[in-house]
Amino acid sequence: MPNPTNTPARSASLPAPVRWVLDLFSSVWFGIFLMTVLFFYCSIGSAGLFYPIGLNIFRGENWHIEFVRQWPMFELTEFEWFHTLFFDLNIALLCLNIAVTTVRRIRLSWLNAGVWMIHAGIIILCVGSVIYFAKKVEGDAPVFRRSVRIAWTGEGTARPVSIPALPGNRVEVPAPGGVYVFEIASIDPAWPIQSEENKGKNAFSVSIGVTRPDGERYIRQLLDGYPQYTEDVIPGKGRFKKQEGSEGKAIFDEKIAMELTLEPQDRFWIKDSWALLSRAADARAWHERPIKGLPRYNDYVPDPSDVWAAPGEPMRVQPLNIAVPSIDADDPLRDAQVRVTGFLRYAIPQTQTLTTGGASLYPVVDMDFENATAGGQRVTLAALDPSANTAAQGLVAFRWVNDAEALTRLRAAAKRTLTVGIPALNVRETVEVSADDLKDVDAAPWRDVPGTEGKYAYRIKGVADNLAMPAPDESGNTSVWILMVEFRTPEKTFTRFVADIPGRSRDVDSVADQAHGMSAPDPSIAAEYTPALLAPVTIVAGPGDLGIRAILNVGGDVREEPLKPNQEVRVNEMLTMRLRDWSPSGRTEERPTIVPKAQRDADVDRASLLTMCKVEITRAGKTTARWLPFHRYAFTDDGHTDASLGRFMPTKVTFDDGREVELLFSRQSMALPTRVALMDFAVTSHVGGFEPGKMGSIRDWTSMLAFEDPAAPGGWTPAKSMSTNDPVSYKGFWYFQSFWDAPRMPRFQGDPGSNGLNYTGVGIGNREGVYTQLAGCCISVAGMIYAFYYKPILRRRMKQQALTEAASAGRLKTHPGSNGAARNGSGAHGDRDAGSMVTQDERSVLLGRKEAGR
Amino acid sequence: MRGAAYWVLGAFLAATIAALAAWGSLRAAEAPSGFAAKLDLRALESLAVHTDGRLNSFESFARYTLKFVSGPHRINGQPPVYSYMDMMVRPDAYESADIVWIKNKTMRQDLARALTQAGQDAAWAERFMKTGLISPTLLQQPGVQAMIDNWSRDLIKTAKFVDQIQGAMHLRDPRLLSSQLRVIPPPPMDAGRDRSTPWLSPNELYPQDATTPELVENIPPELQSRLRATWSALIAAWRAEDAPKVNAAIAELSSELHEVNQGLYPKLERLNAESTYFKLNHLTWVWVLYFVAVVFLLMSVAYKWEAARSLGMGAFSVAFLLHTGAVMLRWYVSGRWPNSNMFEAVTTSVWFGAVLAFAIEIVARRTAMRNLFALTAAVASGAALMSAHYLPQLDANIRNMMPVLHDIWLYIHTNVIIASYALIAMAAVTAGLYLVGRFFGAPASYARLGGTDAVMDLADSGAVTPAADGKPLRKVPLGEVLDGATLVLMEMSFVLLWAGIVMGAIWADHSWGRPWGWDPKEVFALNTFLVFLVLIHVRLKVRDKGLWTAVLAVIGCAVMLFNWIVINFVISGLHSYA
Repeated sequence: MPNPTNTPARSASLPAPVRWVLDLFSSVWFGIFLMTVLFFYCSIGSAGLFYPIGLNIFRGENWHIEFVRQWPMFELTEFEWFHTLFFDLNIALLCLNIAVTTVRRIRLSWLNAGVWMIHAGIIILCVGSVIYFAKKVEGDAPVFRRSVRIAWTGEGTARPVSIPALPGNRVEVPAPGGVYVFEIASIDPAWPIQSEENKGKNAFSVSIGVTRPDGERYIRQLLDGYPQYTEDVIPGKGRFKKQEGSEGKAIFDEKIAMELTLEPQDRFWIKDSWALLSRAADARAWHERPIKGLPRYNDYVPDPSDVWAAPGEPMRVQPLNIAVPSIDADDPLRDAQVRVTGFLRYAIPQTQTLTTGGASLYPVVDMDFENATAGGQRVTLAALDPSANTAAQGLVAFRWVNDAEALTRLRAAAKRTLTVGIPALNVRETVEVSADDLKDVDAAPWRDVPGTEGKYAYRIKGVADNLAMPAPDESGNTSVWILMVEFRTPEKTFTRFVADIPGRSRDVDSVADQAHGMSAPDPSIAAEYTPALLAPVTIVAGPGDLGIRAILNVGGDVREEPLKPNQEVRVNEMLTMRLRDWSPSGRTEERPTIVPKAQRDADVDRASLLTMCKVEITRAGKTTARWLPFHRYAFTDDGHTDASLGRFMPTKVTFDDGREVELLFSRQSMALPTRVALMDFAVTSHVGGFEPGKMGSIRDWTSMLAFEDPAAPGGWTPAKSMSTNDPVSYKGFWYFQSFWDAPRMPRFQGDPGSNGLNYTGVGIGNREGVYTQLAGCCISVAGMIYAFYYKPILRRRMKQQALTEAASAGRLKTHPGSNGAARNGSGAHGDRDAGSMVTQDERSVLLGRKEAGR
Repeated sequence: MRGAAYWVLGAFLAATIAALAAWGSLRAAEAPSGFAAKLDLRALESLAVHTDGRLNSFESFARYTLKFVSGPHRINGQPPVYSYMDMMVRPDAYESADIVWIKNKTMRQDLARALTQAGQDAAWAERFMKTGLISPTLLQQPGVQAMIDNWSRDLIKTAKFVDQIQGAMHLRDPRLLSSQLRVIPPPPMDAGRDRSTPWLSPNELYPQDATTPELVENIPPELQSRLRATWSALIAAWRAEDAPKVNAAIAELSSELHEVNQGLYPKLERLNAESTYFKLNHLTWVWVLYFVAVVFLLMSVAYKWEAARSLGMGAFSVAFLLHTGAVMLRWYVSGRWPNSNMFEAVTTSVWFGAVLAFAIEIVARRTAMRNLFALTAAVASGAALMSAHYLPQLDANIRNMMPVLHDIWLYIHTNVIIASYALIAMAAVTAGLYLVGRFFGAPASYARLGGTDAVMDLADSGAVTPAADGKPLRKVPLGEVLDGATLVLMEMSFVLLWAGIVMGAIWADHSWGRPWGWDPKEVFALNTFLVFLVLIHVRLKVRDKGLWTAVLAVIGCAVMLFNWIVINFVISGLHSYA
């Protein structure tokens, strides 16, 4: 490397201030200073302030990390942190420093070509980066595979409708004669075709359950690309064309035509952006308002009463005031002032029970429990809410009794019992159902019903206590308690859901019946269930003198303890409890609950789905405020959402003049140059095939994308393959395989689950300036190799050449470069420079040549 | 001639240590006594088990699976394959055995205290505190369950350890163990569909209802019958502890499994190699040999003792050969070049360092720098292999690569980057030695020119190959030699690191849609490069060039290690796999 200080600046004729500036920018120390600043800026922006708090530095918990760029005073993403004025200025000064130093202090010569290349390369890289980052647009969008288009073949019937092909999607269509219900029952992304001419091929299969107005149900299966194989299946009977009377026809209901159509995507959502969308309640299209300056990492609570605080964590009360102006002439809130006043990074809407403020009967109790080993726990229960009247897996319950008689009945209900009888044989027995009976229900033994000579038997298969009913029944019951009992009779084996409310018991005969629902109990077998209403700790309250007490059902003993505020009651050796407060007329209230930091999902994408912002809309002098949940994608309806893509929960606001507007908090979107459709989508696997939930089994994903092109046959370009590391380029954008629709198991009753592959996740972005950046990088790499590895050789050659020339001119006493004098003679060391292998006369020759070279 | 003899002696010493270590590893993998000792476990170990898209040897599969139950400990000192089979066939024998590993020491203390009060003896408590192993029976005691419930509520400190305990309890369930043992390949199908068809566990040969699963149906009925009979015989003989019958059944089973799909079944040599690789503890114990070499090479640097130099080079050569063997064996077993997870990146990185050290040693063999590069590589490789040996975070298990890694740039970008990391670590060694020398009063000497120049300059100086009078042409201070070696390594790492960053950007451009995304890993690679940029320019300006070079080379290494350790383990980013 050349030493720039060895080359004097040639600017003595310039005015002093100009010379000072030039000297500053040609100072190596200034460059070192800028690089040092850059180092610390990059470190702090990327990893934050970071220091170990434990010895094992390989464990995450032994490090403390402070993400400076996320501090409230900054609130910057990585991209934003590295594009602040400070950073840009640092890079600009560095480029200037490199340029001025190179031009003023490093002579352009073969020896210095490497340094020139490195410096030029870095400046070209920076220029490319300015172009790249200034024009960068980056985002993503799901592209769905197919929609199901439903049309009526006759005249005067309903208009055609279309539903995206996602499991569970459902549409009700009013038609002459009543309402048709269509529901995507199942989707198989690789249905094996059995028909001879296409045997061995797979097709995307969508099965749609249809319920006609007359109650008739059938399932229509559509195979993508094979409309000739469309056929109807009648539940419980099988394929329609195999049935009598079908005359070989595959279609049961010829009035309805269904087909699979493309579901193109016309826009993508921009990374790290915010937007507020609005639309009239009866409209489909959203009108977008970008939200500029909305924070990202910290909570901004306008008022403590706006949220439920995270337990044990301080609440940050600091309102925002971000104006969100309209940019769309059709915006339904164009006549309103919209501001964002609050932001929660990670919150979930939650209804909490309060002991105060209620106007009607809604008994609420607030208790503290203290366990000798497990610590303390605060419990708030509402007696009339089945979803909130027990805690600790049913070990603690809160009951309301209207009178002393009800209290007496409750005292007696300490044990769970089942009564089974066969009316025809006039036999009947009552047994206690113990906790042991419910431990391993899969291996539960059959118990013969006494007096039936083993012809009738039963076994306990499960229990479901205190199930909330959608609405109170005619007797005022708000919940039902169920014991699942399997019965074996000489004719059949079936399961009965025995309810504590006799009229609500149901039989399930077979798998087929499960799909259809349940039937009324078989009268040949009688079963009654008395649940144990008394939990181990039951708090009981009643009107007037009944007050509040605890009935403790522990260790086989039942005892009662009066409850008084802040007075300790011992449950057993390990557990004590204390009444904090109670009221017969409490209430519930919904607010966002701030999730404690330790409980948050570390995955940024999943976490973003739980972001909320508070919007205040001032219209005609009146302000309306709402907390809006974040939506990753602003779809027009809920037909495109699933567990991975996030929710669709627009918030409806009704103004005084009756106008209804829906609001959505999402990201800014951008129209694609042309619509893109997913023609096919497949996952390729390693040996053994794809195993859901095991990423190691996946080799790659391949999405076949087509772009709308009116000039192309069929209006779409030929499909292009997009897979990992293999993007598709079209009209200035690159399309990348970004995420995918993974299969998932059903998560709750009624959830159809999914075989996945119903959509592909496409990353979309431009990349202007990339080739300039690349050129800069290549030039600098070449310069480094030249400077470090070619230049020494070149310098040797030049030195040898100079010494040879000097020797031939008789200016050297020794033969050049051979160290001959040293090796052949004695005492030659004294001729040599102490720090190098150059003799004094060689040095004078080389220095002379250097001077001449200038 | 004497130097060669010392070299052989050093190599012999290292080879002897290696042989002892290998013998110890293989011996430890054998069953201690009794029924297990009579079994031909090698036949069982080399069965192929399908899991997570890969065909593993039963040995590596069992070893990996049981880590989730007993952590780093072997159950009852038994080979993993035996423990897996025995837990599956005779689960009752393990209910009261100490098999579940509690990682958290505070939780161990609490459990030991509570169970001692409940009647466990002090010897048990001491053993438990030492090993962390506890029996399922004790874990299922109501008092213990209450403690576990309590721990599960503390999401910051203990909940994840409770997950680990519950996972271990779940995994030891014989039903799960048998369902995971997918050893039966799918029969041959058209168009290679059998490659994407799930493997079966022996359980599936015994359908719970009347309908035989479709995949089983595809196996010829006669072979199905034989498989059922052999598996039943194996289980019955195992229960009866009839070793000869078990061995016969294992041999028969192995033959029948190959028969189901000969084309799909992995080669026996590959399965055996995989078992051997893991039994030999992936040869990460070679770190010992590297440090033996370090001791001698350091002595040669400090005392100019020629014998130590040769001894050190001999030991280093043997260590390098074994290290090469480990890398090549892993390459063969995994079917891909080992650089796609943290363990592989660390061990392969220092292997690159050792290869480059040998190459530079050849170039610099006539200079005063000779053996310094071997020394630096030995330190870096020893430290890296020791980390891989002892740190469970560097998981040595072989898995398939993430889809994004299937790209030619994995072999270009990643190899170039990890090679540069090894060189940075090696440069820090010479820089560290320079600083130690300065600390003890060595003069402020430094190499007059850059790295390549320094090599040529020192070669010319005759520092090692002296003039005819037996005296060196110039007495080269050790500081200058160390500084020169630092420059040689730093310059190579500088070029490779920058080239690697550029190559990574090219890959990221077509993989993630942008060449540069300010991902922490990217930023800290740039930061490492910035440190060396500063080093090069500071060297131009300061008087005490050697000191500043050494200090900044050590800082550069620290930033590189921060990038590799902290960024990978603590900050999640797009590069979390390496």
